[in-house]
Amino acid sequence: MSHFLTYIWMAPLIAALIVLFLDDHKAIKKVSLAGASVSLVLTFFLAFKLFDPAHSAVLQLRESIPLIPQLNVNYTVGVDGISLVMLLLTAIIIFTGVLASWAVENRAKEFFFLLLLLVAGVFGVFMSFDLFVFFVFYEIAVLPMYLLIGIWGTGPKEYSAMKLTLMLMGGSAFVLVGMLALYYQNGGQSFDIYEMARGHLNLSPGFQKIWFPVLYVGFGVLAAMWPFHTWSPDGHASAPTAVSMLHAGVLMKLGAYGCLRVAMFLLPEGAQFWAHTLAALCLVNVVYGSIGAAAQTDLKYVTAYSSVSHMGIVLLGLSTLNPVGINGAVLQMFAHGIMTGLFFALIGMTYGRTHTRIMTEMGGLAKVMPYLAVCFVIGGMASLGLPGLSGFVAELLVFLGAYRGDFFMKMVALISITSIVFTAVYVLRVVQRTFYGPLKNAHFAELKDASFVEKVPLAILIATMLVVGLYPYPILHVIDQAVVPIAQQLGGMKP
Amino acid sequence: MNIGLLSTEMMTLGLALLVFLCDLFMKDGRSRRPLGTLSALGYLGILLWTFKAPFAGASGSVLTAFGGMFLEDGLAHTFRQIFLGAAFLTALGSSDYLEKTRMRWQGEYYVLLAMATTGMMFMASAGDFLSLYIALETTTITFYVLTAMHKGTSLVSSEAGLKYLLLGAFSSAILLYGISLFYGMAGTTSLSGLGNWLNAQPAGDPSPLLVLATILVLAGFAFKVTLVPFHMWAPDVYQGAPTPVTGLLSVGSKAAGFAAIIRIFLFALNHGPLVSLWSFLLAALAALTFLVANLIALKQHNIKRLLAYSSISQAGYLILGLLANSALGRTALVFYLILYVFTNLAAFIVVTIVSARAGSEEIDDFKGLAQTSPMLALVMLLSLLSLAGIPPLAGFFGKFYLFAAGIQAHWILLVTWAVVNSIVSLFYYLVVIKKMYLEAPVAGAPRPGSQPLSLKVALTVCTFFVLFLGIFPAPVLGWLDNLLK
Repeated sequence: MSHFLTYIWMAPLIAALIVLFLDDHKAIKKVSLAGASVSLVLTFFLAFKLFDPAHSAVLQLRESIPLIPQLNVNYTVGVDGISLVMLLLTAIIIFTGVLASWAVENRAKEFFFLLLLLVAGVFGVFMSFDLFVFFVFYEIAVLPMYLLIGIWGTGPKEYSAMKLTLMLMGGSAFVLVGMLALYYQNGGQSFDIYEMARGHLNLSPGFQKIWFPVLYVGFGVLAAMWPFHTWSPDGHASAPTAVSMLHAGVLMKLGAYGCLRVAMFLLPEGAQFWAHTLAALCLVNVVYGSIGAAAQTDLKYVTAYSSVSHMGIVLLGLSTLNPVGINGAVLQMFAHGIMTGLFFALIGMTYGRTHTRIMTEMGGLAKVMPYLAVCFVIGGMASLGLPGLSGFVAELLVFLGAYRGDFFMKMVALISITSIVFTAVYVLRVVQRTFYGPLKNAHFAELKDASFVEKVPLAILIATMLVVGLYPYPILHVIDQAVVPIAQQLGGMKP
Repeated sequence: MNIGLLSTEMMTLGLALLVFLCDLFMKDGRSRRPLGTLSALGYLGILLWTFKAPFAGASGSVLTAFGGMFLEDGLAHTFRQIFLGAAFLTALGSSDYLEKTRMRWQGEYYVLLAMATTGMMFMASAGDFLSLYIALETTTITFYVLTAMHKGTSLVSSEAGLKYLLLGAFSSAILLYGISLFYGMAGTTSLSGLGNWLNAQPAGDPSPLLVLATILVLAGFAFKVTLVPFHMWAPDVYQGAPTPVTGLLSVGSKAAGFAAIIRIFLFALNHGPLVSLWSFLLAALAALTFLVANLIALKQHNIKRLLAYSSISQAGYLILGLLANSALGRTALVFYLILYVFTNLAAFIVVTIVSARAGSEEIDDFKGLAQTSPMLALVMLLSLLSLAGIPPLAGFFGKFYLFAAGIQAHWILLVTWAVVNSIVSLFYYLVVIKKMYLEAPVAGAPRPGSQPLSLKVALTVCTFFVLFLGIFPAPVLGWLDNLLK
């Protein structure tokens, strides 16, 4: 069992390599689904059988193999509460993503190969506890996006793909430099995250004040932190369905996870110094993102801006520096991931039928596709934080955590809460324009509702949202214990 | 004096003579492919021999021959293997190319290839300014001729050869002047003698004469390794030369230049006050190189010129390893040169194949390659991504190691600048990838068919090492650490 975690990221990679040798599309899709299922099963087994929730603050199932002794790099993987939740999210999204991509026919082999490679990278990031290995997996998770969006995307796909790749690589360039600076400032002894965290007092406040923004911004680009979010709307809108699901659902969380695990955990004094600035930037994210979403006419752009806004809530939760806020941030990562996965899957299915994403061209689709319409409404309610669904718990915690801070943070919290109104505006607008009202285009009367292969992923995602929304205790318990040591490291802001 | 120390060089020279004799006895008009195969097998044989034969300097000692003019140490040993590997891959990539372009002097080409390799090996083993200069001239003059090898059929080739000759001669003269000044001050041309003389100097600012000599020698070698603003010859020469020669120039000649720079700057001129002088100069040159090379590359539409500018920018990264002035820096530098052989030659061999089919060397020729020739496109993808520094490929780890060396030596701003520019470079590599994968092939264009065995072997070897060195660099790093103590 000591290599269990490695199997989780190896499964999609092996499936990807097998896919390279297959030519029949049905076989390719079945193998991909098998790979995703294996990861899903392993992750669930890990979460419910192997992981000890009573000790989720401790790194479990740890495995460490020397990789590059010259640089003190070890292949160190493990799970704690936060990683576990992220791994679950990834497993669910890739499984539903493969199902949502069942209709891909153009160059299916390369598509599924790149998708599985991407997912292997993402799994790897969430379980790595050695900075070098973390970074390698992080980059592996970014580059396949260029080909995935550029080949199978829609709209200005080459432009979106290039912009996305260059900006994300730019962010990781800063992470690279920051990582090396941290390594050598800590004496060049180890790239292990926990060892570096223990040594944070050796890092002078001056060093931390300079390098914290470097690392945080580097990761923040991927987390769509304003003003580095501009790759996000075009990137999400141009990407094919499964890629958008993965990207908005999981990859953006990679950035926030990096902010938490690397930037804040290893440079706590720097985090304390920059907390107010970060909170102000998050405020812009939240409010600007939701206003921007309200102004869009293309369904995918609405969801993309909504992602920017919700990632703002995640980063806001991180910038509170207290356990409540950070708990909310991690839960929001999970909740938003599921919700956005649901949205992009739905939009993909709708687009596949109506061949348009402009809301004004659609209308009354609920009469024709009731299953999809209902799922859309539920997803929308989760997005605006309706109690009973997972989004509510997460946002509540983030705002409570922010309100616990000083006057500045209280103001930030209050202004961010106004974004809920704008969220309601764009969610209800989308639902009303697309699904309700009279049927605008008579041709749409012949459209079919969701097929079985499409109903399964939607049902899984909605079930997850309901379970977490109605009974959040198990997941929060696991997250909370893991967050406490990080919050202690940060010193927390006094209530 | 142990002439056995020169056995590798003598064997390579012997190979050159053997190819020459075989060419002499082959009828005119017969295919010279066997010569290519003979050369390739010869290089491979000598390379394997260097791994197996007891290496004289293995215990870390330095053995000399010819009164200190020839050194046998870990550095020389490693570089010899780099040159032989590069020559092996070049020979494999040449035979098909020479036939397709109907070159008139194919036998002579292979002989010159071997001569150039021998020259480069002598450069890496030079312990004295004189032997270094002679080796440098041997290599460079051979490359002048190789560059202009398409003399009858291509004006660009002749122009490139002439440009290289003129600029090369000019910079050689500058180099020689610097060497003569060093001789005047130190009383000896031996590198170790120079080092001893410098260490015996009183502390304090270096004398103006010393500064002048250092700058002149630096300028002379900056030409060789294509640092901006001494890089002007590179784009034209790389574009005009026969593509396999370009490949060897970009990896072998650069490696030889760096071997010489390591010997001069890290071993001889590693004297306190002088270090800050040449460090500052090299850092400035490297910073300029990143910027200029990457910016100009963005505008290129000829693939060989693009790769030329890419090659120029790589020199900047290598300088980082030098500036670190530490064991880590040296290992990083040599490790990068090793992986660079495989990465760059893979790219150049694919360029050879594609441009032979399309009849031109434009980037547009790569349109839709992923659909017409998926394997070739994959090899090109891997080598371009490796050049850009994307994990888990070799180029990423090479760059990472160089950056680590740079940051350990506190060159933080320079490393940040290097990293930022490497993102800029990603753009022009992605442009080629975009053409291959995202665009449709031009209807009716000739498709690269199945390739001869020699090219398949070369590409397989290169791709294997690009992946292997990126995922498991530790064994090679350990081996290098041992040799470069």
